[in-house]
Amino acid sequence: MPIEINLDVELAKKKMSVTDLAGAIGLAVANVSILKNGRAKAIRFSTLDAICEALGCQPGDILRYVPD
Amino acid sequence: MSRPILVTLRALLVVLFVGFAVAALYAPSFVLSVFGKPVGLALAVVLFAGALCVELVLVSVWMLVTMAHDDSIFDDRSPADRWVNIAIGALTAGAAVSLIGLVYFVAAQVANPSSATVAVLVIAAAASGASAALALLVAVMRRLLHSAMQLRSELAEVI
Repeated sequence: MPIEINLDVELAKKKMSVTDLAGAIGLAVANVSILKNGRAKAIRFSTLDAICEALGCQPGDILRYVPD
Repeated sequence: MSRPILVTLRALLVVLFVGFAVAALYAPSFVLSVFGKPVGLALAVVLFAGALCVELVLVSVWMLVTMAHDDSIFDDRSPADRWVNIAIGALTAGAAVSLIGLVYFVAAQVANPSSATVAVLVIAAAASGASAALALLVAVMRRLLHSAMQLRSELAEVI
């Protein structure tokens, strides 16, 4: 998949753990882990919205296009 | 699915199941006594086999209704597919049995014309046609079931 999710940097900036983020956006920790480990196949705009709000970042900060 | 619809549907299925079970038990001896040996015997066999097919379809509908009520019918691992296949198989078998009966009754009518056989002939033709049409309809709905299952499992991966 050429689109990668990079939560690590933004999480580190905010000094948040996966559990903190999951609590802040109302998602299961397991699902946030799937996002963080790059195993997600699709993401809702509402989820992206909540992550950007919780981390104070832009979607471009966590999404990256990496050609195969 | 709302509760009253489920209860009504299940009650109707039970009534139909019992009705066809009674018909399968008593109709053969009745038609045998009315029509006499060759035609009556064939009609008895066709009625018994047809009633068995209807019972199978009713059981499949019951299982599918239960799954629809539990909202598990579109799950990836739900056995819905198996019950739909059983229903299609039973409907196809019913159509085949009626068709064989129809051919036999046509032959009997040609050999020994009687107005009673004409009625049986018309009913056998109608049963065969309706059964085949239902089998095709359920086959189309199986396709819909498959695409719904696929969409449901794709949507489950969206976070």
